[in-house]
Amino acid sequence: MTVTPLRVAAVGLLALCAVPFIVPTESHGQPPAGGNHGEVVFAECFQCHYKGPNPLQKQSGADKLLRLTESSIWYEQDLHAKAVESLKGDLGKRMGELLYHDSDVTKQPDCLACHAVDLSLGQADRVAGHGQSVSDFFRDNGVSCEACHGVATQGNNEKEWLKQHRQAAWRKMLPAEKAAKGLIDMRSPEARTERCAACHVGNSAEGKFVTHAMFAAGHPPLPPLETLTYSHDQPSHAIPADKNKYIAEDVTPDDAWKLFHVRKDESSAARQAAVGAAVGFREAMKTLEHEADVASKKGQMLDFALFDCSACHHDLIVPSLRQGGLGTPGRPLPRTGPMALLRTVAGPESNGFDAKLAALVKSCDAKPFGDPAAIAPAARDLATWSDGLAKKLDDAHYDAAKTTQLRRDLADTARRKPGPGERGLDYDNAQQLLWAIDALRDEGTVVSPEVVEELAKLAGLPESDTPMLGRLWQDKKWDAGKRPLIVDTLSQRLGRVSRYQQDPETFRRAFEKIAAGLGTAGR
Amino acid sequence: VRLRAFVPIVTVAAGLVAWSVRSPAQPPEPERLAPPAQLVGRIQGVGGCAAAGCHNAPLAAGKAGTEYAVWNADPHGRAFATLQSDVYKNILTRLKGTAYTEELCLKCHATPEPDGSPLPHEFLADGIGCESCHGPSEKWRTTHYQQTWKNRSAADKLADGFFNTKDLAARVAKCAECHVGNETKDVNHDLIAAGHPRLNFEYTACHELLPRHWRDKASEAEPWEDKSKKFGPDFEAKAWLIGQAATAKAAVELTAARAKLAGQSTHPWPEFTEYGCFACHHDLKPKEKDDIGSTWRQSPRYANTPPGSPPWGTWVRPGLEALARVAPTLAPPGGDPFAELSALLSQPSPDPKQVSAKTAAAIRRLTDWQVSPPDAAGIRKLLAGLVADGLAHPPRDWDDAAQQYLALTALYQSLADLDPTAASPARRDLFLGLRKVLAYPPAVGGHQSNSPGGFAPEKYSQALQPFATEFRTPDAP
Repeated sequence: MTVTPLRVAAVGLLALCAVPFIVPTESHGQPPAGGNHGEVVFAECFQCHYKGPNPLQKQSGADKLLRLTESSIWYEQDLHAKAVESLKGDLGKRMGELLYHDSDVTKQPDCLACHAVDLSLGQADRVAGHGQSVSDFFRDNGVSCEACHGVATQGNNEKEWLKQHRQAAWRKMLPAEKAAKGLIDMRSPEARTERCAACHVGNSAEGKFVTHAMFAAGHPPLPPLETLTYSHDQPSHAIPADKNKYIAEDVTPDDAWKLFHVRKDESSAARQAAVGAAVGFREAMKTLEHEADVASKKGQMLDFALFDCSACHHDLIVPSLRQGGLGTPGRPLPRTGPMALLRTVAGPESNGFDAKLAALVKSCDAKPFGDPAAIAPAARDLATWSDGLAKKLDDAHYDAAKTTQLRRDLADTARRKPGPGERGLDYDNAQQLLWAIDALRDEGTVVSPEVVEELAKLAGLPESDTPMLGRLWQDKKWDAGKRPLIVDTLSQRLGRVSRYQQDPETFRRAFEKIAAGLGTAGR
Repeated sequence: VRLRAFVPIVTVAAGLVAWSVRSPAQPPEPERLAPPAQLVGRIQGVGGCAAAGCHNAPLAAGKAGTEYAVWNADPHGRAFATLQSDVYKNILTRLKGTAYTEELCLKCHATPEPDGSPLPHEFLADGIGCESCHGPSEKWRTTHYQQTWKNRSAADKLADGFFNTKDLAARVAKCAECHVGNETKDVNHDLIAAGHPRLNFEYTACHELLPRHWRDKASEAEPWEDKSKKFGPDFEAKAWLIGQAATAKAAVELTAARAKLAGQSTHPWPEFTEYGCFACHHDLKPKEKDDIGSTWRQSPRYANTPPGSPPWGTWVRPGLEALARVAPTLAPPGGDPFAELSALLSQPSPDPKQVSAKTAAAIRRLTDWQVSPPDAAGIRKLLAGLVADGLAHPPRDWDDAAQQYLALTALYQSLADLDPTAASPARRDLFLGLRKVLAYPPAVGGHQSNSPGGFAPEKYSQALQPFATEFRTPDAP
């Protein structure tokens, strides 16, 4: 079902008549002939989450916790709704020809894994990895509700969460209980990052993995994941924790934390940034482990996409700027994603990280593109370490002082001058740090207008001419129709990468100003 | 004019417009790619050759008797000195802790003892000395200037350790021992990543760019030399064809050796030097506004090579592939000898054992190939054919284009050697236009380019277009 305006209006009308918190009739959850459950669930979501609170929803207090316009915000403004649409463009067609000898990639499970909803996720008989068939996907509306919130059906039946979440008692349930019934706790920084990372970093076990062949055929590179920025840069369809009346007024502080992951006088944003960094890395390591396991069993090389792109992809020059200091020449390092943010948020917890990373580097140094049998345990070790870190970071208290300190520490990392023979931050690292600092701009103590201006200059628009690291999209201006798809800004993005590489010092100096403005020296 | 000096690896000038007044005389004879000869005797050093009465005569460089002086200006003579440079010291530093040792370097940067034993220390500074190519002189040092020497057969001389460099196939095989590599002399991707230059060997280009202490063509012969034992004006074409054949065989033999040793600490597998360097080594940023510099790679260019997989054999395959299309009678019988091998090696994790089997088959076919160089009409036809083929099959990458360019220059040289009127400044300008497309970008900030950033096959095809009218054969439509 592609939702035409007419269809949306019809569904909106339905929403008016819908009675919330009532157990659905038996007709719910039955797939239409020739369709799959995704379409039915999708329409059901729209019934209650499209038009805003109706009198009954107001009466039940649902409008204090939820906007009840989630579906419309997502449908009209969120780029995730365009995920399948983007497969139908010229690039998608060309990639299809190159990779599958078929220009229609909307039939390819490898693509649909991230561009649609995989309804087989969470099913008992699901085969891990790249084994899905096209019928496993709900393809009509891109990355829709169930992609993040959890698949809502099991076979022909609704999952418990779909049945029960309409009931008032649902609000009093612990996230773990809800998770057991199939709803993913998107208020938990850990669970949320895990969902974002599944596509924006990769999740091999779910078949979400952008292979080197896909990149070579034209798939845009994946920008580094910084979950707070990614959340800010999409239209939020949740009421932010600090503005949520239900959480502030109707639940005890203890329950606010247990049920909704909110603690009074703490910055949820800072927690998201910190936990997000740890979980994003953990997910990268889990995918590396999964791929290494598979490669090791098959006696094959790892996919090139698991390695540092710029290890190979650079023009050759003599004398080289790249040679020396990193193990055996000609042995690419793993593409761990940027780690400066991770190390900064880990702070004193970084102890032990270097030794584990060294083990991974060693396993990649054993031969070109690494020894999969040695990479798997090294990656698992790092995943375990970052999982522990994520839990510690989640427990920490992000009061104004800690939040301000976190922001300062990030700026301090970004402005650090590389020592002799040391490489400075690469583009992805600098960009991820900037994003986190910028996204924490309005948290903690108030920052000076000079810092705000400096951040705005660095984090400007993709189309801007000034040297900058750039946001993916303009902050808080959502109009999916007008916002360019990632692929349309690709050449500008790549241009910015090379500008950065030519002169990282300019950017470092800008961070110097920001750090000074944030008062790092006064720690 | 240095038509062939378009990459910064070889820089010695070469004259393009030298041609003979003689027409080609001898009917072309087929050559076979012989197995490498096991030489006997021990290295004696260059000292004995450098006597004024022998190879160090006080004459103008290039005249017979000045071989030692000419070699002194030859980069081969400085091969060992290279190992004193900072570039080399940096390579060693980067390879610290690996299984690679300086002994490996000496195998090509000094004169090798045939049995692989260490060279006496005092001979190291000779670099690639006389005996590197001519054979260890222990057994022929005192006989090779005697009257009886001239009457001995090449095989007879070889039995004493004297290598027959006048046999083109054998000569190229000798060059290839270091310039392509073999089982014991292997410049692999680890060494290149550490700083060793790439080995992209094409015989006629290297030959053209060296100061020559010998005279190949009858037209260059000294009055007292037997011109019938020299090559005719078809030398360049012959050298190109035999060069391609012998280099291909050396390359496949090296692949076979690497497959055999795969997995050893000095033999990572797969070996990336055999794949197109610039398939991976290119910036990802768009080179130009119209994006031509980066997106041409996305269209499939090599059979059996899916997107994102580096193509195998980009340097050694194009010559023989084009030959098979343009002049099947000159090419190895049975089509492209690399077809099966390259299909296998283009898979993500080729199995060394399977590769060994395929190399054996390819080596057999190359060994059975009777290489018959073209006659004068054949050279003209081949040149026109390669131009048309180049236009019909735009180059798949820089290697492909560079090999085609080198083939065209060699054949053009032969054409000019056969008929001086075939050479003209206008034609030379066409070649220079083609060379410009292949040139690496200029140095920036003290860093020399070592890859063709900005190269695009379309640009090459454009520059090749005028060749089609310029080098049409008379019988062409």
